Amino acid sequence: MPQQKFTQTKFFRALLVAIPILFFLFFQPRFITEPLRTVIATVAWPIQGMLSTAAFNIRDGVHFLSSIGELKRENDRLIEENTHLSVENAQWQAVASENDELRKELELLPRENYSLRTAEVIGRDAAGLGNWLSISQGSTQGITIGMPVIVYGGILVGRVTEVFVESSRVMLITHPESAVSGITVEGGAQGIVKGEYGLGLLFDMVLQDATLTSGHRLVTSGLGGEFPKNLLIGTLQEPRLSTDHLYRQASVISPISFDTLRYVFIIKNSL
Amino acid sequence: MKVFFFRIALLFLFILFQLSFFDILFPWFRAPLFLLGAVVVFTLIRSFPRTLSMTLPLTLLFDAISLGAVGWFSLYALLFAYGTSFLSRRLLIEHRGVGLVLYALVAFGGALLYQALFSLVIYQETASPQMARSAFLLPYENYWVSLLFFFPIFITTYFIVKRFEGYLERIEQRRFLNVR
Repeated sequence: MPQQKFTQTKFFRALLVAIPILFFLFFQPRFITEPLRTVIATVAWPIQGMLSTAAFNIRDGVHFLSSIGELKRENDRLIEENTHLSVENAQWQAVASENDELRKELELLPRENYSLRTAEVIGRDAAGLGNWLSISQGSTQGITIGMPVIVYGGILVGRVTEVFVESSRVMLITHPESAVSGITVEGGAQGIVKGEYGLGLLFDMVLQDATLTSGHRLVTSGLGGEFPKNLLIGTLQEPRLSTDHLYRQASVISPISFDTLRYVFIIKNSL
Repeated sequence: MKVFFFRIALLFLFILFQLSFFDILFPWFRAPLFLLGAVVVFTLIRSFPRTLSMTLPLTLLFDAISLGAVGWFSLYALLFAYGTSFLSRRLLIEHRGVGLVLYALVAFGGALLYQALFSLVIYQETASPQMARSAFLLPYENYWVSLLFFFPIFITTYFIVKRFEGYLERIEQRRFLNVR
């Protein structure tokens, strides 16, 4: 049998293809990839919407089936909790109406009053390095770059970084390039909240004399004007000194799971 | 031209399936498992040199759509396709019946390896072993559930691609006969 030349081997072909990929890796052809991305996002959103709805429904169905045994116990607990909450709610309603009257008297604006737009998640980052969400609202609905994105209860998710015709891309606060100015509710410590590759959040650059305690709540400070004030980011955990011993830092536990988000709200403007 | 558009449409469908279906169903997975499965399927059906015309655009387009740049996934998928081809020729595993299940396991193993490499990158960037571990060490049930769902999806993809290739071949043959 005649021996195969090296240039005819599969290995040589693989090498031959790997060289241009490596070239592209180091000299990124963004002038090709960026327009391509825009075109695809514009064309593909209906298919993405259908696929994501199917995926969410399957996930919910599987979750329902797997948790059917726990449902009765959970139901009993919820009925009990509901009774307690109804009583509490009645008490709070009285307090709220009293608060409204006092605000009117003091001529203060309501605290959390945003013009919100609901959007459904239609895609998300696969490899974990991007940490983004694709959502079903775009320039047609008046979405612009930089708008903050939250979920129920004013919990910060990220901000819009790319806008297409009928969809947008949201950079999560867990993205390594994300930086949000934060302040603790209890101690008033200010710092920067950085993303940690989709795995968590870090409250960093806090001055050494500031008080950082596990369990303290962290909200947006509103500095820089990118995010409104008082959006909840999470609770602090494991306060420590930074590796260079110049600042204090702490891990931040977000009350939401970024992996399972289905609906989000875009803050179009603070009223 | 018709064949070319069909091929591009299939690749786009696969990418959208990964981004808007698979990643929502298995958000904890930090590797594009479905696309690695598709790479294995293309390698089995088309053989290594011919598979490059499908797997390369697939991975480059995925990187471009997902990251807006060419990422390491394209290179990884190329090596993975080569490895799969090498393995299938050396071990002479047929791609039918139990053989297909074995290839699904190969794709799953490839995704786990990619996830391990990802956690190494995180370790390089953050110097935090705890964070690198949490990127890779997920609860066992997460892996089991993904594997359980992946088997039928892989086998379905295999048959879809096989039929698709057969259909394109018939189109090519018809065109060739018309020319003559």
